[in-house]
Amino acid sequence: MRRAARLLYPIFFAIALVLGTAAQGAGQYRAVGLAQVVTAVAVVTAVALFLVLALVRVTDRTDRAAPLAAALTMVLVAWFFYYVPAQRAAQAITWRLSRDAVLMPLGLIATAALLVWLWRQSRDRLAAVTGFMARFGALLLIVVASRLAFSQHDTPTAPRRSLLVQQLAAPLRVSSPPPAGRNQPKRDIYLFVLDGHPSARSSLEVLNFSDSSFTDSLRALGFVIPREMYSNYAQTILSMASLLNGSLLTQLAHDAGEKNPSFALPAYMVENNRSARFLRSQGYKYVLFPSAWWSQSQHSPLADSVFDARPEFTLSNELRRTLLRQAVLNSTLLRYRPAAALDTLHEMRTMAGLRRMPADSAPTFAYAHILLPHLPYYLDASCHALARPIMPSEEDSSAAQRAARLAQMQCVDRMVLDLVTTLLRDSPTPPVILVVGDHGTRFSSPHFVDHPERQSTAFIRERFAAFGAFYLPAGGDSAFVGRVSLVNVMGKVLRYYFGADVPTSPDDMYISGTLPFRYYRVDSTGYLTR
Amino acid sequence: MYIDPAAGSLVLQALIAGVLAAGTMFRSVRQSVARAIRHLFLPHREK
Repeated sequence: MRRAARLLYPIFFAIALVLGTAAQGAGQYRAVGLAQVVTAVAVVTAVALFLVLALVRVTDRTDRAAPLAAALTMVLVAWFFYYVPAQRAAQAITWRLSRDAVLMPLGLIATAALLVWLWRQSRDRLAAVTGFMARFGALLLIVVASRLAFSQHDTPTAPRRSLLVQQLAAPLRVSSPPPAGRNQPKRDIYLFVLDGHPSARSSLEVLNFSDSSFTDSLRALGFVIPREMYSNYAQTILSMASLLNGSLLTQLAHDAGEKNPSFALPAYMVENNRSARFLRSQGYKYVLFPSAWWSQSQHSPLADSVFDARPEFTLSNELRRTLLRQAVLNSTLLRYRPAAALDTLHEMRTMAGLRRMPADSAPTFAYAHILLPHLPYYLDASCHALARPIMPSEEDSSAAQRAARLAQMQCVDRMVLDLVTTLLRDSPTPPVILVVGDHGTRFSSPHFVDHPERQSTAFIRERFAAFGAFYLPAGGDSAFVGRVSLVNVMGKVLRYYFGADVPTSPDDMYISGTLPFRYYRVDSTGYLTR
Repeated sequence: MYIDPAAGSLVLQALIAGVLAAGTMFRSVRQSVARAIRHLFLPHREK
């Protein structure tokens, strides 16, 4: 390695953290998104290196300044990017010694000793440190990049090789067009997914709260609320892919493999979903209202337009725009400033955009993924930002967190009620409005993804109890009484209003964990089987 | 589900890379690695 290039080793370490984080989330980010984060981190570290060098040169104008500046920058990089990983590693060994109250002072003492040692070293000794650290950084990059490449090796070709994706790619046929009164003129169709919104039954059981004022208000507007509504999967990515495609994902266990942790296939199915494809073929515009940070509902090659809920360019907006950026942010010392990761107005801007949709006279399929009332909890029942938000890393089953979840749920209920009232008032033709949760809560087992096979019937009852309320004019609501699971929601709509040949799927339930396609089926008694 | 931020496994990978880097500081290790690479990629001479 050339001498000057060796001094850039702090950048290698900073990039390694980004690649290491990305390797944890195959299929949950886009390649261009990863490239942006790597570039940003490299540039910021290079600027830090330059500034430290300028500072060192004030007191030391010898050729010792450059290796000393690189070493000092490395100390900054180690603190900023590696304190949290080190704490996580220590946590796996000992909880007591991994607390900030212990690790921070220990780290500060070690840092002070290191700084004194570095300051006293000769040029030759500092050059040796540079030589070692440059090799260390380069080797770390190789190790981490290899792991990343391994985790992503089948991502680009996975959809082409998936039987399920190929089956769903076949255009839906319209065998018998519906009577004219059902969808003439064409009705706008709104699909709102409220992430983690439980059904009224589950709200009562888990949050000890009767959601009746919300559901009664919806009923008064003409919504139908199924007697029993539930999701088919316990995770958002699978629920969303099955909802939007009107198909169970059992085949993915064969297509991707049970040991494959990548979200690439269901992510592809969300972005290229069958419902949007069919509706576009019927002359509809597909308008995507992207989620605040969940990457799979932020883009779609099918979308005719994507709402921009972040009209201003700000550093905070850029830091929290995607799941990968948030994960990297949470891996650094910025984790201790949780407000940096939150955009408390994102959902309000989304709602404002949705309220304007009836002004567009073209028939529209609008899909909005609202990341409420899911963690993090940052809004109170009146939708005001909390002074002390609760972040995902703090998740537990305490009464305080149940209260925070309930408050955030009341907030989103208020927003939704206002939205649907506006849509019904302003739409020239009564629209179809589908409001669903993608799954219920998980207070009885917050870390179920680590052991999906060991979950209790109580957890299954809680987790699969998703919310559902449907406004289906001209008699479309007749299919939504009784028991409804998410996988059949779009099929019922497309069959009734368009006469589409969407086969009905079994209302099965599957639970899986960090290996999303290693399914455990919930049997009729609520127990898990393989 | 989230991408698990700051996985502790990164520290394990750093330890591996650190040990390897320390190894490459020794001339004998470097020479052995160079010999192994030559052995793998250069054609063997027939006797």
